[in-house]
Parts: sequence; C-alpha cells; structure tokens
Amino acid sequence: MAMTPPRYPANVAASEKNAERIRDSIEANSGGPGGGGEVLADPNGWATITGTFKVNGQVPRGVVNVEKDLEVCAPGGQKPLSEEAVVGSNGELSNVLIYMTTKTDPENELWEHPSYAANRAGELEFDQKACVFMTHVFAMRSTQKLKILNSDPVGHNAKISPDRGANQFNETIPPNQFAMYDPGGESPGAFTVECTIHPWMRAYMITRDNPYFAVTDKDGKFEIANVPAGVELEFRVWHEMPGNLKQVNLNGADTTWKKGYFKENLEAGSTKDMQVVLSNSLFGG
Amino acid sequence: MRAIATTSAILGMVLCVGCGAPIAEFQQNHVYILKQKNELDGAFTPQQRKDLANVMEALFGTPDNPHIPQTGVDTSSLFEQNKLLMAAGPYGSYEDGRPRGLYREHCVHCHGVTGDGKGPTAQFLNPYPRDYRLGKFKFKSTPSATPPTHEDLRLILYNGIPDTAMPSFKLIPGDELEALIQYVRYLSIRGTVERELIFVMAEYGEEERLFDETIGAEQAEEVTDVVNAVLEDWIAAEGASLEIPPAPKGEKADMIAKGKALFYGDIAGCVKCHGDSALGDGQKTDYDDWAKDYFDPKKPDDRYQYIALGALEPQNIIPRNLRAGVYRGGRRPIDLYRRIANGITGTPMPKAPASLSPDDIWHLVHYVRSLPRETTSNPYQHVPANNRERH
Repeated sequence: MAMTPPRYPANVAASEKNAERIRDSIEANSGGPGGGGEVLADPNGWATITGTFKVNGQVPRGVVNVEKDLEVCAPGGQKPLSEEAVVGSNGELSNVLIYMTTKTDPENELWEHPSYAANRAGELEFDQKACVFMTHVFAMRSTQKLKILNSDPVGHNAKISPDRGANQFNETIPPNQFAMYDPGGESPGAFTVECTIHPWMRAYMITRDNPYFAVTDKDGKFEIANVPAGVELEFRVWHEMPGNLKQVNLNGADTTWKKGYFKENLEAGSTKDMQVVLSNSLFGG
Repeated sequence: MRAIATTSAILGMVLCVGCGAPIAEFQQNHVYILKQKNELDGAFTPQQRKDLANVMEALFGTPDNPHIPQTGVDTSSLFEQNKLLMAAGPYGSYEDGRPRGLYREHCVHCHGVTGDGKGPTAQFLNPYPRDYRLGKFKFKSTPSATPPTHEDLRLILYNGIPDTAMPSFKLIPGDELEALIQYVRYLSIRGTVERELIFVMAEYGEEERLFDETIGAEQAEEVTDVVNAVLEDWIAAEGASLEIPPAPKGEKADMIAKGKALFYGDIAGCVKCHGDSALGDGQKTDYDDWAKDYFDPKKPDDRYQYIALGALEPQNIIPRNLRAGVYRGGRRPIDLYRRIANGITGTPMPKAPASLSPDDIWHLVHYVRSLPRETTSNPYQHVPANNRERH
C-alpha cells in the first residue's frame, strides 16, 4: 500500500490591516491600568464539599515496565502495579484531583478560613520507595516548600515539569538524602514529576495559591472543608487517564462538566455531598 | 506582429505570477493547538485562530518585517530593530550595503522560518534542530528554568555544537553574529508568547475572542501581560549565570580518582545513565522535553495525530558517550562544570545534588576529561582485543 504523505494544515494567515489595528490598540493600552477583572462579592461564611468517586465496571491494571535496578525497583521479582487507574473492589477511584479555580485575593481573610493559616507556608514531604513515588497525585500550596525524599538505596532524581506558573526542577537525590523544591507560583493544572534515571516512574503534582483542593483517597473519598460560602465558586476535576472529567454521573444524574469545571454556590454551614460515578471506558475498561 | 509580442509578454508576466520562492510566513503552532484542544477542550474556531494570527503579527510582525513588541517593557537589552532587520527578510542586502536575510542564509534550512526546528533538513537529523518556541536551550550558564544569556547564545553560534548538525559561525563578522543572536531570541520569545496565548485561548468558549476591536482595551492588557512575562524572563536571565568557584589544586591522579569514585558512587550517580562503561548506555529509553511536548511514551499511538501536523517522529535521547571526548556544550572545564552543576535543560540530565561540593564537581570534571585518554577508549590495533579483521 502506498504511503500517503502527511498533509500539513494550511497555515492561518494574518490580515495585515487587522494586525495593524490590533498593534495600535495593544501599544496604546500597555502600561496603563489593567482591566482589573471582575470584582467578587465577599463570602458570608464557610461550607464543606465532600464526596466519593467511583467507576462503573471493570478497569484493567497492568504492571510497570521496570528496566533496571531490579533488586530495588522490583523486590522479590515483583514489578509494581501501574498507578494510572487505581480502583478499589467496589469501584472506588483514587487520585482524582479537585481544585478551586476561582481567582481570589489571597490577602482577603474572608476568602481563607483561619484553619488554613497553618498550611500557608512550611514544608511538605514527598517520598519515593522501591522506585515508586509514594504520593501519585500531590497537591500543595504554591507558598509551601517541598522536601523530596529518597528512601531507596539507589539514587533518584526528581524532574518536575510544569509548563507554566510554577518552577521547573530537575535535581539528583542520592539515597537517603533529599532535595528542596520551591514551586514559586501557581500552576493552572497538574504536571508531571518523573525520575529520569528510572523513566517509568511518574507522579503528578499541582501547586495552588488558594488552599481549596483535594485528591481522592483509596476509598475514592475527598473533602474540602471551610470553603467560602455565599459566592459562586468554580472547581475543576481531573484524573490522569481521562484528563479533565467532563461526563459524569453526579448524585444519580448524568451531568456535563464543561472543560472539567463545575460551579457551586454553597450556603454557610452547609455540606455539599457529591457521589460521582464514572464510566470505566474512561479508564481503558 | 507587435500585438502578438505584446500579448506574449503580458502572458509571460501573468504566467510568472507565483514563480520563485513563496512569501515566507510564520507557521501557527498547529501541534500545540491540537494538544490544548485534546487536553483542555479548547474550541479554536477558525475565527479564534485568525485572531491569534492577527495578534501575533501585531506583536511581532512578519518574517520579512519583524516588529519588537511595544508593551511597556524596555527590550533594548534583548534586541534592536536594525539588527533584526539584518537577520530577517530574504537573503540579499539593503541599498546601503548592509546585509539582509542572514537567518534565511544560515539557519532556516534546519530551524525553519518560524524557528520551530522543522526546516526541510530537520527530519534527517539526530538530534533534531532546536525548536526555539519552548524557550528552552540546553547549553547555557543559567539555571535550568532560566533562558540563556547573550553570551551563552553567542558561544553556541561561534563554536557550533560538535556531534550535531549545528556548524560553527566563527567566520561571519561580529555584527552579523549579533544580528543572528538577537533574531534567535526574537523567534524564541515569539514562539513562547504564541504558546502562552494558545493556552489562554484553550479556556475560551466558541464565541470568545482573543482580540475584538470593540472591547480592545481589556484584551490588550491580557495580551500585554503574557508578552511582558516572557520578556522579563529573558531580561532577568542576563544576571543569572552560575558563579563558578575556582578549581582545587592537587595531584591530578588523585583528583581523577576522587572523580571516578563519585562517578560510580551513589551521591552523583552518573553511572546510572552514562553507564558502567561511560559509553552513555545506562539509560537509552527516555525522551527530551521537545519530544514530550507532544509525545507521551505511555501512549505512543497518540503521536500520529501530531506527526500529521508536522511534528517530528520522537527520537530517544541518549546520554553522552564520555569516552569520545566530544562535548556538545563546549569542552572547556567550566563548560563541563556547568553541565554537571546545573544539569541540562529540557533533558533527563539533572543538576548535581546539594551534597555535592564544588570541589566534588571539579573532581568529576577531571575524571570525565580523563576518560577519552584511557586505553579502553582507544581501539589501538596492537591490543589483541581491538584487532578485528577488516573486510
């Protein structure tokens, strides 16, 4: 069969006249006061979002293709299980990331419950053992620092690759030592953490300015406590395999989350419970 | 008779419309747009893509007529219009004799008009020519996430990159070299700004516009913020070179031995990728950031949709063979020191751990530089193991 050469798309050409008008407008407006964005109303209290993510049906789970340092990375000849989709016996889905995307003023205390003051700064730990990152999806505040440990008798490195917002990083971590990562900013979504010495190792990370995020545990459960109430908040939901979750069954009703977003305006003192069921076709089932 | 001659002259002129080289234009980043479409559900309607082309031309002009974005940031340390004009445009010269089109004369065959590393020669090369648009450069003095300095780019152009297709431009006059340095910066900044705008647009609904003249002021601000963040990164890079402490003095054999212990030890762990033999065969299955930009080794089949848009087939990145004595980023001791201390941006090569002291790094430099001189690195015919039959 003859190979068809790839057909490259026709380029999208600019219109010289429009480009000139836009140039004038940009150059006239730069350096001036910003658009400022919309001014948000103040919250009137605090609420809680809690829930469970489950998968409907079987999801296959493979093993990781370990290529070297077998005595450490595949102890007893056992290669580690893939963590791309970790589903419990009743369909409980781990490692779903839920994070608030509403832009807030970090200095406005009406937007940040006092219980979060403690995690504004300080250090978190992120460990690796038997050539597996111990936390597969790791969420932290952009103002925190991360101590990346190595609990293995072989060297690792942590190659942290946010496309934007947070700092990129790639440093060797000798056995039983650690490296310090300062994200320095907020990432708009999850990004990879890899070990290039053992390229099959991969975890995901997100760094956020606000404290309103959670990752589902092995029971598929999550809770975000003390979120601002009385204002419309926007959250994004992500899982490594399907990416942003768009088609879900929420509390019994088929629901579309456009581009992975849902919005909530919660009453002060209330708890919003979300029972989310996902099709196993999203996870190779 | 005369009528026939005139007609054929006119006919000749008409037929010749379209002869010669096509007008050079910047290619929109189709691959990155598709990626954002896939990952973030971006709409990228024809109108939105047209808006992007218009905004990019407003900010940066065209390959024949480059424009420096006037967005309130002083860019005089990055580029000057008269230098960009020497590098831009078709090959030739201006009326006053100044050269023109240096980029198309020297660079375009590999790096492409857009600086996307997809010139006509690119597919034949390994490594591929640099795609400037990610803003990442491997051989430089600054930390991993920081752009290169002016001197970093100058050294690459001046020396070339051994063991790659990148030649040395030692023989071209200084001001022409300067024009090319600035033009590479210009293309890199342009490409990064485009990626950032594509990312902004990925969140748009179908009706949203990157730029719509009726509500221009607010949108101008958003575009300006994107441009200025990229410009400021490049401006700040100039002071971010790694300070290199003086090399320790001592018995050379002793320093080489110390370096060797580190090379094979757990702290530096060089052996893990460069291999027991130091031939660069310890880890050969990984990819660099330019490949990973559209290629996920865990989902290899996904690559075809990007290749259909002009992305190059991903190639494994191979650790340096340290016995060859060829160093892409320069062979001076300080070049090797930088590679070890800072790592190599966009590649698996990490920076040295904090527990490795500057003296340790210098010892590693000694050891690495000794490797090509070891007997095993040289296939002397009188060594029986090396004495192969020739056919």
